[in-house]
Amino acid sequence: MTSKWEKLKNFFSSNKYQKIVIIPLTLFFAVVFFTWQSSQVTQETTSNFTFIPEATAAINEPVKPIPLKLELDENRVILGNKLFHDPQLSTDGTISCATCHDLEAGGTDRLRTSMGMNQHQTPVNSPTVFNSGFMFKQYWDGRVDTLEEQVNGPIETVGEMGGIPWENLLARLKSSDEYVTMFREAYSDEITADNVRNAIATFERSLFTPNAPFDQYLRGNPDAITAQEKQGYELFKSYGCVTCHQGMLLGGNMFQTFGVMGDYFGDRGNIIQADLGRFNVTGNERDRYVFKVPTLRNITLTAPYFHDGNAETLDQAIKIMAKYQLGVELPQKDVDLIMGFLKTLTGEYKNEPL
Amino acid sequence: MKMLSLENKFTRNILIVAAIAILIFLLARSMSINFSHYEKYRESIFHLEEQESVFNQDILKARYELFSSYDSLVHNLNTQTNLQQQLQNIPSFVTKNRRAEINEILTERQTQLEQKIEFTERFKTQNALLKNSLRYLPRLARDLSAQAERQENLTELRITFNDMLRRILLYNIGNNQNLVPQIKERIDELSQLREENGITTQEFPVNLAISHANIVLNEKPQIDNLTNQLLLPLNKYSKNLENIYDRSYQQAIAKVNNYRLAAFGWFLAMLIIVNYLVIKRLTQTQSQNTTYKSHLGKIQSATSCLAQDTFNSEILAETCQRRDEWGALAREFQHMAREMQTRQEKLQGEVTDLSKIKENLEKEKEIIATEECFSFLSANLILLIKDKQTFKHKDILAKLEPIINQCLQDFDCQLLGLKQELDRVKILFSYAPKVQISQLVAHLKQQSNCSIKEGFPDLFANQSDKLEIWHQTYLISSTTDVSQDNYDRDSTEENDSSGKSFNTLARVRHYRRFRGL
Repeated sequence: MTSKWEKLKNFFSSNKYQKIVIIPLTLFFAVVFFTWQSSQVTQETTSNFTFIPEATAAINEPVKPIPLKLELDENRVILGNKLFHDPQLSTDGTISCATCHDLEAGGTDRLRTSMGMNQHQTPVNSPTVFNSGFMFKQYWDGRVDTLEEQVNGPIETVGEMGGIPWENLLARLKSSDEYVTMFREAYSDEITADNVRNAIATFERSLFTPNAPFDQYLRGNPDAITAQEKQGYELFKSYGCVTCHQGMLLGGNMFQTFGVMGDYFGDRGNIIQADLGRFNVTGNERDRYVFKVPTLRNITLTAPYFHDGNAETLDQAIKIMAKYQLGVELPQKDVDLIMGFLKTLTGEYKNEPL
Repeated sequence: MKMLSLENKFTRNILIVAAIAILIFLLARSMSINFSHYEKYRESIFHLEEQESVFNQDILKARYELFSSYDSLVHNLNTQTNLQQQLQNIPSFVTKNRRAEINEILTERQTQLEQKIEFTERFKTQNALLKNSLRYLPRLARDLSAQAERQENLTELRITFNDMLRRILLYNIGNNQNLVPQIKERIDELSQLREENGITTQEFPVNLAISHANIVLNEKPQIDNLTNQLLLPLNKYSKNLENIYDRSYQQAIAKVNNYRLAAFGWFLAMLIIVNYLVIKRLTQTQSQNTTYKSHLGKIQSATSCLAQDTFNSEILAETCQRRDEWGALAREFQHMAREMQTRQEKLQGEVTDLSKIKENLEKEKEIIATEECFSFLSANLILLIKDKQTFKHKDILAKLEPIINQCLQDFDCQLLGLKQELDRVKILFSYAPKVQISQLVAHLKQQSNCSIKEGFPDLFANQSDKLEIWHQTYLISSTTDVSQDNYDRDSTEENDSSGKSFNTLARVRHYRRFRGL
């Protein structure tokens, strides 16, 4: 040990030190500096942009299949699921999100119009929560763009969940050790209104229903649907239904006037504020009776139909649509064929058919 | 001195800190462009331009394709909205003025985008109606043709309807406004034919056909207008944005390059200074090492000299004058060396004394050993004189003693006593056992005879040459007591057998002589 130390000491005392250490050290720093400089220049001059084209379905149709997988934060989905089913979110602890959007009932309550806290009748029918993450806007009148914004609506509306102030709601959640733990796992910060909204919205985004028979057909399996169902799809296109009910959700990506070829509301009568649709949002006369085109995904499970729940059955809904949107009286045969096609739009949730 | 050192240290540290601070400042300024952020922002601009192009394509597809989905339009506008928000996060290297310009462009573009979103919603709604009519009218034509084959009164209606449909389709794909009155004319004709022929809705839904035709006539111009509005390029904003952003970047790069150059120069200067200081320090260290080795060598040399007993204080004289540790060490060493030398000299004296004592002891031992021989081999020789007159001369005995002594020594014997009496000479001597007494006596007689003759020729002038002083007879006896008293007594009593007294005397003398050594 001493001998090594002595050697080291001698080495550092000798002139070799200057040659062996100082000069290479200088060169090393110089090389590092120039390398850094050149790397900076490379970073400046190169800018690679890779544009990944969107995947397209094999069949060129106005309807596209729902993706089979989505990347979502699992912790937030679990937390959102708990919040979605938690009646603590209502003032008196009787109503949860799932009350009106029952996952066992196609994401709706199957009522003409939904029932809020204290048996308060809400003005519109509950749209399905399934695939709501793909909607271009939320609510029938499309008054909000995102699910996070939509979460505010029911919680803050007295006639729905009692309008509990967020401070009170957060205090309730913070009193639960389970929630505190779950929020800590899902988010870096504590329980906040934004986190609550995001968790519920994330859970709702997870409620997508892929792999419907029609999706399988669109992905290239011609036997996924029957000949009658294919015929129904052709009628669906030729009658012009597809002009509004197109895209991945067969709806949910545009607004349309309810009663293009007829006075639906005049015929129905008892027009209420909610019937004005998008007009309530924009105040533009052009938007009177304009509603978000609803999705036809899982349509057989979400009766009654329309914003007012006026059509109790799918058969009625098809006929009403044909009459007021297309101006035709569809023969029952065509209605049945179209209905057969619409049944192929029922997908799966967690790999199980809805 | 200490204060000065502290001040120097403080100044040195301040200089080091300042140099490092300047380097950090220059490096920080030279890295002030966040390239990741720059590229992300630039990518957003490119992506925005791309989305604008894709949006125009999607609008044209939606407008002119028979089947279309609006998902891409929705996705595109959402993407543009997100990109618009991302572009609000302007990189820090953009100057304040440029930032204001970019913000102004983004604000204008945001307004345009919102308007475009609104137009898009109207476009989708109205385009759906137009497409619905355009899709449904051919279906009515097929139904009418089928019905006309069964009912002749529908033939004219069919011809008119098909003509109207053809003009509608032409009108839809082009921009021929002359077709509008023609279509309206056909619509009127259809109404007239329905009235004239009494065609019921069950036979053919003329009103529905007219409604769809009117929808086309109403919606088509609006949709064309909307399409033109939507196709208005927003890319002038993104191009301006790109230009301003690039200019800002070039300015920032130029500035940063200057800082880089300065940082590089400063770094090199620091490196050179550090190297210089290191080399200087090494040189100093080497000088110190040389001094160290020199003094170490001197001390080692002094140590060797000390070991070889050749130490000279001059060896360390120069080192001793130093005031440092080496001087102290040398002085200490010198002091120690002197002490060692003193002690060594003292020890050397003692060793010499001891050697002498040892030598004396050995001599005494030898003498004692020899003395032991005398003790046992001492003899009393009595030589008888032939002519008593001869020995009356007083000097004869004095002359005789050295001759006898010499003769005895020739035989390794020692004269212990000599005494002349009337007719005899008594010789007390010691001898070695090897000595042959008869030869010794003969030698004594002969030598003493010759010496006396030569020494006193006048006494023997009348004598022949063959005259002998001694009788042939002699008397010899061994003795052990050679004490003075016994010798004297023996001599007085002329006791021929008193050799013992001679021997004792010889031993005493011999002892005294030994002690005298």
